[in-house]
Amino acid sequence: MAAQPAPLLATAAADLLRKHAPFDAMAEADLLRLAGNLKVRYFEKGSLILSPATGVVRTLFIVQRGAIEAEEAKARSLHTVVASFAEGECFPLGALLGGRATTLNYKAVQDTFCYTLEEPQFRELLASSAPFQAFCTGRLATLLAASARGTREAYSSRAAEEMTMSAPLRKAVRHAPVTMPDSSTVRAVLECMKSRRIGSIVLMSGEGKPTGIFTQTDVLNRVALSGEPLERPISTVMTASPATLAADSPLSAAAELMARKGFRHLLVMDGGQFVGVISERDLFGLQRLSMQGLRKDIAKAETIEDLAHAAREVRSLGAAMLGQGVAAEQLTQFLSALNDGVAERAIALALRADDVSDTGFCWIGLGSEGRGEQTLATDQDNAIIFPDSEGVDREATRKRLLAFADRVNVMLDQCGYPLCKGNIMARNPQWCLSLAEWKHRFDDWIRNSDPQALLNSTIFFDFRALHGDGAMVDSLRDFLLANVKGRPVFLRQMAANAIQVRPPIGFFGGIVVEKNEGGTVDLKKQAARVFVDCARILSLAAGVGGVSTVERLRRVAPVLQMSDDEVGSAIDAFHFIQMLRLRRQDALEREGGGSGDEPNRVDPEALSPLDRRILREALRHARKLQNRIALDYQL
Amino acid sequence: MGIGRLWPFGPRPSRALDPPVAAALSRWLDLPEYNARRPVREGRWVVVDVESSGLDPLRDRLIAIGALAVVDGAIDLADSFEVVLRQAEASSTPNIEVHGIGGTEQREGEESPSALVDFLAFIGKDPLVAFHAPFDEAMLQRAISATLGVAFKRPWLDLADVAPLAWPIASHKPRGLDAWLVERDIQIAHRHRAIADCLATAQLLLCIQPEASRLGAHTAKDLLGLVGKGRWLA
Repeated sequence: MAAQPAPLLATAAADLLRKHAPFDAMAEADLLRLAGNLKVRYFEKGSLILSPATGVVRTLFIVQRGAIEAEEAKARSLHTVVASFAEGECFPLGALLGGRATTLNYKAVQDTFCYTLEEPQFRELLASSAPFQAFCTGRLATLLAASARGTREAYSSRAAEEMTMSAPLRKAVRHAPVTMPDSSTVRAVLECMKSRRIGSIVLMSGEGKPTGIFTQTDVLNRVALSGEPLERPISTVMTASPATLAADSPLSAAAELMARKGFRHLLVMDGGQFVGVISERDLFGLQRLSMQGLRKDIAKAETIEDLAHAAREVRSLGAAMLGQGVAAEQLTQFLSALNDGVAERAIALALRADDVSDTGFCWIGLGSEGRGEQTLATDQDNAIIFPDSEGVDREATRKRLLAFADRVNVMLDQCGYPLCKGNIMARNPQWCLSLAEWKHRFDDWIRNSDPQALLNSTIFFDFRALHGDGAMVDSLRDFLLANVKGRPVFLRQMAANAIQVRPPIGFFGGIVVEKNEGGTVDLKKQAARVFVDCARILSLAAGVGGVSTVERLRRVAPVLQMSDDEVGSAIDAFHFIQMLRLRRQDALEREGGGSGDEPNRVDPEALSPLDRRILREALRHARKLQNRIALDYQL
Repeated sequence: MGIGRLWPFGPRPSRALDPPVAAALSRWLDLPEYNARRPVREGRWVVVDVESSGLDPLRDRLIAIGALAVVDGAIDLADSFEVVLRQAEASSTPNIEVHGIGGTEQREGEESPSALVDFLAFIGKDPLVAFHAPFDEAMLQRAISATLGVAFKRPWLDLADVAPLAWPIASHKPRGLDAWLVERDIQIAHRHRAIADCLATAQLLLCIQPEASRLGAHTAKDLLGLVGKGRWLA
């Protein structure tokens, strides 16, 4: 007698799975079929579930309750845990998909229940469920997408409000309003609207006061459908005494009034003068407040106040874009492009007061600015290169440039880029050097490689021209690449430094937090910097240049025979970490956080389960890069 | 059909059963017994949970049966069984009037035999597992005897007795299933539906199986025998 499986068991299992990716995205029918085919197994704490000796993997495991860890099969120490799996997570996908034995040992770190799915049903599910397949084949990529979606959902409503709604109405009025006397005929008004392609027109009294508004919607309702003759005065069909708001009231007031009264247009008044119309569409359009507009504002800033205002806008637009789910890569590019713009403009303004352009100087950005990887909370790291011109007194040139640099550094500080605590700024005589001096300095660091030199190279080797003659920058970079190649000792020491801080992946539950730091993880020190440092070393070793971490990784890949997958995953992981940092900084800004708050620390427990998982995955990639470096330099 | 053979378990079915039900019952009766010497974690155990109209196994009626197999140390969600019985016997007891079951369902009372015989087919001759097994056992014995006319004497493993042996507790108060689920961190949705309680009990069984050898129980028979020992010790 064929027993009918109890449907409730499948439903209950499906309910548990649905809390996790990719099951949350699967069609109900697929999920129920999957659930109905599951078995439940139990593994005591410490028991070995899978190992290379198990042979070809024929089963998918999904953690129902408990935690599993995968460690390298040739484990010598506890530090070889390469992955951990919490509730709702699947393993060993790679081995199962590849029809091979696993290369890792999977152990239960707690008493653990797992669902298991046998291979034939697993294959069926792959074939029938696109989300499941996408998940299995592009794990990190799908996770990232899901996280971006989540971010977008969590932020979007708030971001939209924020970007648009605090600004005064005055800013939203784009062009001078189109008006006609209220004695005009309907025909004349319609002709005007058609020829100027406008959706609304404001009617004015003889004294120049607005008396009414007429819009496209009114054409339909009050003219076309009513069949009234077109020769009537417009005043008979216009909306008389339209609602007005003062130009300095915030956009939110306009939105509120429109929503409450059902108006689509409001007249904006400035001291009794009519200055323009704001429509519902304008309000929505503002959300797309463009990067171009902001760029123009920056380029046109005539005073330091204007520039500081634009720089603030950069940050708030950055936060809004973060909320709209813009990928970290685009976001950092955007921030860095606009920050570059601010720096350029500050230099241009400073040059007006003190023209030192005859020195042929080049202003360079260093560190994260040099790499184009700035976050929302970035202090200044900059320097100057100037040419060694014959017959010109180097010290005299330096003296002039230092005075100029001080002016720029102070301006940037006013624009919200705090002065560098380590005094790595162009106004410091140590970092305002001629090209020959820079080469000498670099050479010195590479030869001596003492701790300070190593520290300096992590900042100064990431340089980029922000203003002036880029040829000097190229020359310096060529010099650096040519000299480092012959200095394996220096690279080895850099490598040793780069693997000192290990990404916080532990053997229990995944992410290891620092107890005395409130159970948090330092995303900069323990995660982002690992990628940055490793990419720098790899690019120097391969002699391929590149300044940004992503560009460096992409360039070294073919030279070091890293697979596209490996590089792609590392880059995705780096971007994810950067995004978490941006989000954290954004949140701090929003809370008006004190200076004591660490802008780079997050509590993994406070992340969504999905983000926590991706973070773990990202940290795993950081560790992988370190392992590669350690192997390369036999550390 | 083997009906004429010597029958050691009490009276043969006396009432007239539908031929398919009688055939199924006969097939079940003819099934070989499970191997009592098999290791604890091998073979099939069937977790059973019943729901009734009350807590008195002599008087209250059987309303639902859930059953779930644990095979070779794994719960197979597809190897499960769930049935809601409309009524044990169509026209007999005043109980039915007490529970207000109408004429339509009385006429459908005949589904009980097929439901119970399906249940027997599902469990086969494998050992049964329950939490507070005597209650489930009594309810089933009465229903099966009344409906199918056969005695229902199967080996039962009562996890309410075994769990305190596996994880000794300080308190002398007996622990309910819920307390054990909390202790073992087992989470079950839809508790108190028969089949969901089976899943809970089955997961508890999975946790107990690895402990069995520590308790000196290596075979299925050993494990079933622990219960008596446990009672005796307590």
